[in-house]
Amino acid sequence: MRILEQIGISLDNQEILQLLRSKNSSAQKGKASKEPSPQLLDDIESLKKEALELIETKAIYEVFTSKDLLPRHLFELSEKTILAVCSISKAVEDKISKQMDKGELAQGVILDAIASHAAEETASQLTKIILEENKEILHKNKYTSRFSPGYCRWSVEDGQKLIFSLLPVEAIKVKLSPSFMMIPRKSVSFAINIGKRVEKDLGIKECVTCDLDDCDYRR
Amino acid sequence: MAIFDECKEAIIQGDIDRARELANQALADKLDLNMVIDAFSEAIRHVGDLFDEGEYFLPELMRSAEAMKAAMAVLTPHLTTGEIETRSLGKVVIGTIEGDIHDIGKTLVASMLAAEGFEVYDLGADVPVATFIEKALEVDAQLICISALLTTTMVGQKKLIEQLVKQNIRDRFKVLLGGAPVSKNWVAEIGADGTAENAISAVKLAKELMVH
Repeated sequence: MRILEQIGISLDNQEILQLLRSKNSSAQKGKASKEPSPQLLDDIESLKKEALELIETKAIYEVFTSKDLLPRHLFELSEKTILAVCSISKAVEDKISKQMDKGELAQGVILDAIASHAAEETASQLTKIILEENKEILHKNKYTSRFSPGYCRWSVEDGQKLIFSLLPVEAIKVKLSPSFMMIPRKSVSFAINIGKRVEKDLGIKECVTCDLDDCDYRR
Repeated sequence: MAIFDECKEAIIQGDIDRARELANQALADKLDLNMVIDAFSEAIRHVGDLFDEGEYFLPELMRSAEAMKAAMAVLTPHLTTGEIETRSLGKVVIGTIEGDIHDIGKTLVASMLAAEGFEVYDLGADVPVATFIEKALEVDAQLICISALLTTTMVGQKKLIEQLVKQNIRDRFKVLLGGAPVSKNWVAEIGADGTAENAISAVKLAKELMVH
């Protein structure tokens, strides 16, 4: 089992802006759209600084033998599975709640988008670290992209039960609510399958080829 | 620029201080407050369209909603009870279901509903089904908006409908569902009245439901 802290992340304004656009907007459909105003960009920059002071990235992961993991349809082709959880800590969420409670909605939604992006970025950086730290296992095998409960026909309930039963996540101060919600909310749990027969497209790349067009979790 | 145009501009620019100032000026000049509110309302609808079209980002939409709220806080106390009732688009009870602490999406919908003229009772997050029903009965709401951000908490939306049916009051309320995992199939499956993918669509749908 490996615990990591202070995972370095960088925050990309375009990713944050993407989270602040209407899903119906032309930019979301790949067309050109209005550039953000200087005021919005200033707000994003100043709130990014504030967020980075509050963010404490933490992660935990472990390599498991896949044969005992359920549901079998996800793990039957893999030999090893890495399960991981990472978080950016609760302080940013507290700040967001305070802003929303004060009626500072614009600031609140910007900070929320920054925090969401930071959590995903932490998961991406953690994945790179995992791949680097486990290259001896990986170089003889194929491996999937990371995939999370709620995606790839893996229910939130089944996925979180599995991950949180096998990893001592309290070590990074993440817990699961009775409804299987991670607290702090800006946390990401995921798996990576490793083996000679695994389908490499399983995971976040799979949405492109997945036939569930109207899946609520499609990326 | 005429004051009505200035009112619209203040909302479109999301200028909270200016919107409040113009509302106070309208009072001082003894203008027809309904015409002033109409100007503010027209602007907030326009801002909603701009957001939907991708011309505005969410924080800009929220600033406009905050500006609208600031203006209405000045004007509303000077309306008669009859005028308030006439202007109200309806009463809405809104919250995030028990077991779910996601709050932001629900708060945005509540803000836009209020900005457009609904009387909104925001119960917050982690709200039991019984509380939704008690509040809706207490204020004689027409709409219940219930948000769930997880597949594991969506079941609470179903429980709400079941309770309304069980208590023989399903027909008294329209029920709108919100949250990322909510689909039209889920709406149909549990017998709700609709869902919307963002705050602007939610307001449009709420208005439609009030007519039908």
